[in-house]
Amino acid sequence: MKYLLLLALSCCISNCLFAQTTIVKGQITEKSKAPVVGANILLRDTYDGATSDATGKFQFKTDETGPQVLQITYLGFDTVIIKVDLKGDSVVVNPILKEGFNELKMVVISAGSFEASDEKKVTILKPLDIVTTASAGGDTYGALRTLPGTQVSSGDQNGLFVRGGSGSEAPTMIDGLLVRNPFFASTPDFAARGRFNPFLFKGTVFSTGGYSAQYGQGMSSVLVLETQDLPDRSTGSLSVSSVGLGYGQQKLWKSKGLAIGGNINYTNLAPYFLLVKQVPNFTRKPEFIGNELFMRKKTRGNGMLKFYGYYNHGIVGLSTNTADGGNFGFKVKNDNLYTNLTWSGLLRDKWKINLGTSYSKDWNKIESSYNVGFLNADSFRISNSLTQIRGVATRFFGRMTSVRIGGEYQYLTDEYKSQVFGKSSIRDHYPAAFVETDLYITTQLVARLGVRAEHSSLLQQSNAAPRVSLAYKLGPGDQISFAWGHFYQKGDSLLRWKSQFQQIPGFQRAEHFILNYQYILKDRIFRVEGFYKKYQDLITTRQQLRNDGTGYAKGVEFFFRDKRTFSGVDYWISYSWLDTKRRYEWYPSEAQPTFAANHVATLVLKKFFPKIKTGAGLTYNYATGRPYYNPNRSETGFLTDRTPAYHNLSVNFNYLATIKKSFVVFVLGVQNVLGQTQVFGYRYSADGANRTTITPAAKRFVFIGAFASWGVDRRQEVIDNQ
Amino acid sequence: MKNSLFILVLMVSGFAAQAQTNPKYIQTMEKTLQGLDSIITVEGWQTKSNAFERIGQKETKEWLPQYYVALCQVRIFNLEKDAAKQEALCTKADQFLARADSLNPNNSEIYVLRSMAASMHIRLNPMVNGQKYGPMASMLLEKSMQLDPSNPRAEMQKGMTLYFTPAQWGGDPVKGKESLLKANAMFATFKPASSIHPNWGLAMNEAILGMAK
Repeated sequence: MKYLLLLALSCCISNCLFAQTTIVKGQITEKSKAPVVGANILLRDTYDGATSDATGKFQFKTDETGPQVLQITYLGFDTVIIKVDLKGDSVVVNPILKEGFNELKMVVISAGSFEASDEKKVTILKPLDIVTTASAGGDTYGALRTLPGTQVSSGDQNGLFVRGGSGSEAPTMIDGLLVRNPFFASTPDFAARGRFNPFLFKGTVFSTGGYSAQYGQGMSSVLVLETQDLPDRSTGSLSVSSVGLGYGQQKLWKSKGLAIGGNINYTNLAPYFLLVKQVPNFTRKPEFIGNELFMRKKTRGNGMLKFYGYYNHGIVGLSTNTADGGNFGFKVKNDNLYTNLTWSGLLRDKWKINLGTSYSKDWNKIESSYNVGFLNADSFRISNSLTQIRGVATRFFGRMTSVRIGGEYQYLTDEYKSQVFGKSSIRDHYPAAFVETDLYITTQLVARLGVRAEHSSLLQQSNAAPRVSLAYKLGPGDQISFAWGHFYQKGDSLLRWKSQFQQIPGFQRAEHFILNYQYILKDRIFRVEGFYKKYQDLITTRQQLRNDGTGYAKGVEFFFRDKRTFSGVDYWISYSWLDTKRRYEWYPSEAQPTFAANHVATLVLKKFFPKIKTGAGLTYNYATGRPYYNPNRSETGFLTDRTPAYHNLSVNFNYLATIKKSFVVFVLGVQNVLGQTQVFGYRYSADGANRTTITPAAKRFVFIGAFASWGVDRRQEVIDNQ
Repeated sequence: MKNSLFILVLMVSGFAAQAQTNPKYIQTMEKTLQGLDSIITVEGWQTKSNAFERIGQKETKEWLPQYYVALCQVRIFNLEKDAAKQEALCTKADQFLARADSLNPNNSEIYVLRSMAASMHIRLNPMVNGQKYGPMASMLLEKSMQLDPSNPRAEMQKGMTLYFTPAQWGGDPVKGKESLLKANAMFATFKPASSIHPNWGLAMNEAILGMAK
């Protein structure tokens, strides 16, 4: 009896009756002494705890006793665990919380680099911006020309002209693998668009200088395109436009982690050219047919295997009057094959491995005629190919610091076969290796140190290029970056120099210095960047072939993007000031090259009108005149003439509609709405007395099209039925 | 002796009952739920969120604390302007909803909240997240309505979505208002399964209806 009563009593004691109460209190602060408001303080495995008040202070009572675990959590901060011994009275703890890892708060290397990505948070552009920029006309390169550091008035030559560099000094990579022929076949004095559909890519990194040691062979910059992963669903697409037709289909097997798809596109400008007069006589209206095939498969180790294949056949021919009163005829038939196979994944959870291989070939059959007499009509074939493999292993230390080691090997061939000049060919074995680290010294300070070594069997030369970038976060939204490095490049007309001089020139080199300040807060971006570039060993071709050309480029660039000030309006402004001179190729002295304008400015404006389901875009490009060659000048006046300033106002409208189960976008785009005269340069007669003007084929370009896409599974219906 | 045996039996049975329904759990939940519908500040929601999180880490088998933590994140999100914090709130809401869902699968209330969390992702970055989270939000809501057609919070979410979504993405303010009115009527007759089961939303629904006038 007594025993039982005792038992009952002891149960009551432990349960509640004579419990000992301890008060736990303290103040929670950040390292900076700022109070942490709203932090959760709790005793593990009990109900007891509190929330810190406006001064970071907290206090709670607990009936628990003995050793306990106190846990303090606050969103965005690392959790703190404190062991406490509760024995009545009070316990005081004053923990300091440390900010946790957050991509938005980390410093990133920004000198010289523009990124468009859905996955990363801190980017200047989103992939969708590329297709909604009026002056871009759906071309990735067109959209990039709205960023500072690029030339806008280069409608006569292919490529991106970055900070005083020529189009060939800015190579394009897909998933790390070089693309030799990223543009469609073109005729002299008319630039072609980029080959690849912007929707293929989930991310774009456009570096205007000081780029990573992972890449080489671009004295100015690199454009790195990253292909899409598995889609969310199976889809189909159809496009009908004033220039052609397209159809695509992709199927997703979700359980297998597999997607396979393809696109077929047919472009023919003949109907458009019938309606809108073009200035050179197009003897063969531009016509292209292209196929794309892709496969994406999830593999073990969180890996992804991707294949991309592209084949395009194109033809274009024109006939134009020359300054000599003669006629120049040119016709090109082009076939282009590009394939790319990559795998990326984790190895033992510590290493990230990227492997890739690519084969591409480009064939051109060209017929040219020049009926003035001293130049013969010719028919020639030019082809090139590239076979490459690439591997990169990245090891992470902690959350951000990493080391990359990699190598690549390229085998390049170039062939030329002419009725007049005979045959010629070159081959190059080009191995390269690099090592690079992203060293996070603190979350505010990062250093990227790298070096790249390259060898060319054709040039019989090797080089080692050091690269350094630093970035320091000044505040929540702003940071300062610096980049320096050496960038080597082979000449871009090696086959020509070989035929002309029986000799191959060595590597050319550029050295970059870049200083960048960037301020990003939600919906607003401001950045300013200054750079200095020094060229050495440029190829000169006066009488002899040498590597003794020199030059420089310097400038300041501004970029401002704002989505906040005007409701529903997104706009950006770019301005670039460039001062550059170089002595290369046939230049008698250092001069501002023909592809460089001193001042370039762009305004991009986008607004969506929900009531009429219409998006409107406007782009205004401005550039001061570019130098052109005037044979009437003496050597001191070399390239001192300037073309008129360049103006281009482009507009586009997108109307969104839902027809049956598909989502349809109707597009109307007009380039150079105001019909301003755009002059890219002049071509002189042999005696210098007459000249012709290099201009676009028509003042305006109008594009009308409809793009439909539909998801094959039910999800799209769900939205429609809502 | 008889008396003490009775005491013992009483105590043992008391423990057993505690193991099943745990009055302290119910009590603490009831206390924490007080005034939930009238909170209008981040601090207010944060305090509630912390309290539910404390209960959740103790009662690891209960889905309701996890559910309410997620609800607090949804409500804080609506008041928060900092993108980095909004992003963190999305992540936290997703985490707690995943836990609630694993403790109590196929629950209409959890599905409504998951639909709301998906909408948060869209609001965070419409251009980027819209394509993925748009269909996801609709599917989750549809499932919620299937699981419990009388859930007023599901009808409210439907109304809010229709009301606030731009027309080209399937929004319709007129239909949205209809749903909100219907939800109001459903709130009037709704009976929660217990004193601690979800019974919030009437004030929110009325506030939005006020805007829709």
